Amino acid sequence: MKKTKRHIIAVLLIIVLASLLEIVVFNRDVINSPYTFLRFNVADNEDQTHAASGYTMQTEVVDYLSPLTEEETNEIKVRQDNERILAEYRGEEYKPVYDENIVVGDDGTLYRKFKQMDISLDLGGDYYIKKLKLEAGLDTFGGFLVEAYRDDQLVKDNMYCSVDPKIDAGVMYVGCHADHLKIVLSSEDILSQDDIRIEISAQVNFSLLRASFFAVLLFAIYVLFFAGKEIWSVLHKKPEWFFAIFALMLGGLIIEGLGTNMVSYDEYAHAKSAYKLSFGTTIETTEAAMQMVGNTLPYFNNPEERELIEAYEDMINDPDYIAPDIGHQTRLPRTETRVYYPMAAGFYLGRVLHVGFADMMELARLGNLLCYIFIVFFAVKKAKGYQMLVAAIGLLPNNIFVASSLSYDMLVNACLLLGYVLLVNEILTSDEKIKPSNAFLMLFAFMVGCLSKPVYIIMSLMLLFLPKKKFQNRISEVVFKAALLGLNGFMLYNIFFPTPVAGGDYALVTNNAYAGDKRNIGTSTMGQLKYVLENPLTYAKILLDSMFSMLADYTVRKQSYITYAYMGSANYLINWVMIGLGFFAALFANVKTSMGKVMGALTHLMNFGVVAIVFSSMYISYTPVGNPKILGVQGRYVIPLFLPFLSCFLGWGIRKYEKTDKQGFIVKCRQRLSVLPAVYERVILGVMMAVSLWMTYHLIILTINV
Amino acid sequence: MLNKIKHFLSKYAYIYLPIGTLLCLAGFIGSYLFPNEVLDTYKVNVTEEEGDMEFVQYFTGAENEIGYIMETDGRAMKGFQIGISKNGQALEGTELVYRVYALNDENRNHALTEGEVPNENEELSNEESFDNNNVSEIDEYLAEEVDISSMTLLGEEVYDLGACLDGQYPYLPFGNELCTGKIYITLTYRANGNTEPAPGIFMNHSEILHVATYVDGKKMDGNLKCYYIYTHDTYPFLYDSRVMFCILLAATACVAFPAYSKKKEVTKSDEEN
Repeated sequence: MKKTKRHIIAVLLIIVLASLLEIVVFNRDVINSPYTFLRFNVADNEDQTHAASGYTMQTEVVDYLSPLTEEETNEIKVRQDNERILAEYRGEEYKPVYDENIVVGDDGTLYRKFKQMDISLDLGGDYYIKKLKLEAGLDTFGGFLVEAYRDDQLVKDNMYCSVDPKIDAGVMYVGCHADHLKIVLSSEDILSQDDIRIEISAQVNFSLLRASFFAVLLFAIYVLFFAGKEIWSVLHKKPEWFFAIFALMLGGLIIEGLGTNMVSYDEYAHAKSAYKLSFGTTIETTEAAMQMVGNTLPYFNNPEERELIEAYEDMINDPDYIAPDIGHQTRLPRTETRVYYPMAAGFYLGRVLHVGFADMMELARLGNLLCYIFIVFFAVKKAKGYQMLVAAIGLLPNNIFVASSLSYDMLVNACLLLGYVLLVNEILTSDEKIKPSNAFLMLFAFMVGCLSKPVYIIMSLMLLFLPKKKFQNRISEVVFKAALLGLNGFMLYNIFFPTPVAGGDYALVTNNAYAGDKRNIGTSTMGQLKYVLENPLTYAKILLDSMFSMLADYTVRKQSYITYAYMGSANYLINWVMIGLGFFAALFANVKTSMGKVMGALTHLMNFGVVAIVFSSMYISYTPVGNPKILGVQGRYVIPLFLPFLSCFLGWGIRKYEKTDKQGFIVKCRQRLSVLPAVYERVILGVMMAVSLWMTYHLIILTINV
Repeated sequence: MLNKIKHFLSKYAYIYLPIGTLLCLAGFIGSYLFPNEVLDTYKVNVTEEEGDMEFVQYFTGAENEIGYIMETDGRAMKGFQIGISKNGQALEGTELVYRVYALNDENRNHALTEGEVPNENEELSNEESFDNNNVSEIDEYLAEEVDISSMTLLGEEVYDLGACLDGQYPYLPFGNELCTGKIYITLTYRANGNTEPAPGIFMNHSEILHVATYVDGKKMDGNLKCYYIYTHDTYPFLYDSRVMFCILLAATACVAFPAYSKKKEVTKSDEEN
């Protein structure tokens, strides 16, 4: 009772401290501000409250050409190449068409025509400016660059903010005193001074998200350092509950922090499938949903922009404002589409509850996160002695981020983790017969994990090497292994010959000539296969070069592995922290035996094989024919192989100890570590939480929530 | 409670796992034997290009005939959808009569087959193009005028125009399974005593490769706006039943069947005795 009281007081203290931290860290500069906000260039017919006086504004407009970035140029080229293929398919002649504001230079460089408005704003006094908002009625994207001056001295420069025509405004953080502002507004539109409104502000803005971040941080510190032996004993016995709580907290912060910004891998494409799946046979696509699946919803960079964007999204999500598009689909979704059910459930719930569009998207992400937590919770629980290794992989920032996004990779990572945990259990208990329920669950998990990425099913082939004594008799062993081979065969067969289940895709699934990823120019599945078969040695070299090059990138060439997708990455050194932690978790896991050298070697061989197949599939589907490098392979594709790799280090030294009675260094350390109260668990949870919270603070809180 | 369920599931695994395996096997075989036929729709010329405007080609009388030459994609065409303008009328009882003819060799455009040599570049592009796009042979049938007398009638159907809304694209199924290859579709209307103004068909001015639209046998500028309807077989439960068959078979293989276990125990005790 006394201890429960202590924990309740601690939670209350955490809430109070978190709120104080939010005010001190993010609002201390405006607590004593003499004004909240001031508006400049307000027309006579507009609201005059907070209208500034005693200021001067001068503007000048000039024309200029700006070269497109490599990314923008490539985007146009990819679009044109896809249009060319479509025209060829229809038997039409293709002529490239450019936007009217694009100019092709003599050397082929693409330029965009812009109007530039130079605004000189004398504020008429010295103000502390926290935020600057520029409103301009634009038809196309624009942006403005700000320089702040105080007493004719430049205080801050190179502050850039984009203006989305959908919200007609851009808000930026300034954070300095100034009496004069120089603003350069670039746009394709013709503007006059009357079209511009500028607002400066310095008001206290309490953010629940930022306060929640501090609360999670303080809660983690409390649990890891001050909670006491009773809690740590629970952590030692049931780490799956701690995984679930921390994963929910971290994922919740990411979901709330990202709002409707789609910054995960191909998130809009996943959003489209999930949204469609949330309906029955009749799909009602609102304008907001259409922009979501087309990846044209505005992105926010701070809470003020977020407010404007969410209001805009709610407006266009209203069926009375813009009538939704009505479409139809089959009652039986394609096999690959079923992986979207957790997200679809969120979209469905959002519609039923009539919440705002942003909340509906967050519910869809939450559906994904809860499904991930549920599966990995079960995986951690099932792991015999190496729960913390599984929990550490489950808490990897990459995994939590993907689980908190609209992406089917969540199911790939979670189900393959569960499937392999059950597989490792069978390997580590070589004297026990394999139970039917375990066999079913293991293969079912592998199957679900491979619905969208079938190549990983090869991981399950490790079951072929289970010894005879794991089965009831010889016949049962042969039947089990034949069924396993059948499962692998059917799933891999489906890559090349998918079963069409709905109308409209017949031409695509029956025509290999069109197969190839249309995000890249020059791809052709059949062409690339032909190239590989004609040049096997050259391809072997390309494959090995690409594989080892990626390994070197993440280990010695200082490329960050731990990422929040397009939001950014942790420092490269964190790669090594994670590698070290992985080995620590594996070597000091409380397992009774080790895997053995033969199984270890076979596991490494399986890992190599899966990686080679992943690279090869990207070469065939994503890389232009005959390219000397394999493109498109990302580090996250090897996440499902972390457990197989680290499982080879479980129980290191135990067999030698059993045979010779000599305790190696690892065995000694393991025994000493087990004496301290849950120190092994706390180290792993502590490091994972520290890395995740650091990344959330820098990549989500500071970047788009201040 | 949970333990009771677990115990029950484990105790009777030797019954339900083999049954499940057999059901999946039956589903696997059944999916192959009884595929699900679904309609497969292809948009043709439905969206206007920039600068083009759709228009309605109204029937001028019962003898007035709108025709359309095309080639199917190798499969039998099940029907098509065209946009119907009812001119704001109900048109109860008025019927749209549509016939499908197969083009014969006599319908070839002789000016091309006898006099002209196909352009080399065109041949090359056809070779390079993909199989389902290689339909240029139909171009030889797209003459300025068509003669219906040398064609073979494949089928005739009627559609009650009172059943569709004004501006709708109703599905007009072809009754004949042989509507494949190069075909000519004709549309006429039968007023059946109705005095309301005649209906029309939505068209635009786009020139589409490998098809042509005719009014009273004469080729016109522009084409019908339509959808081609084919069918194809789908196997909705094939994937699930075959992977679940393997999974359940593997799980069944791990079951300690009671009959076998008893036999084993008896053999063991006999040996001990």
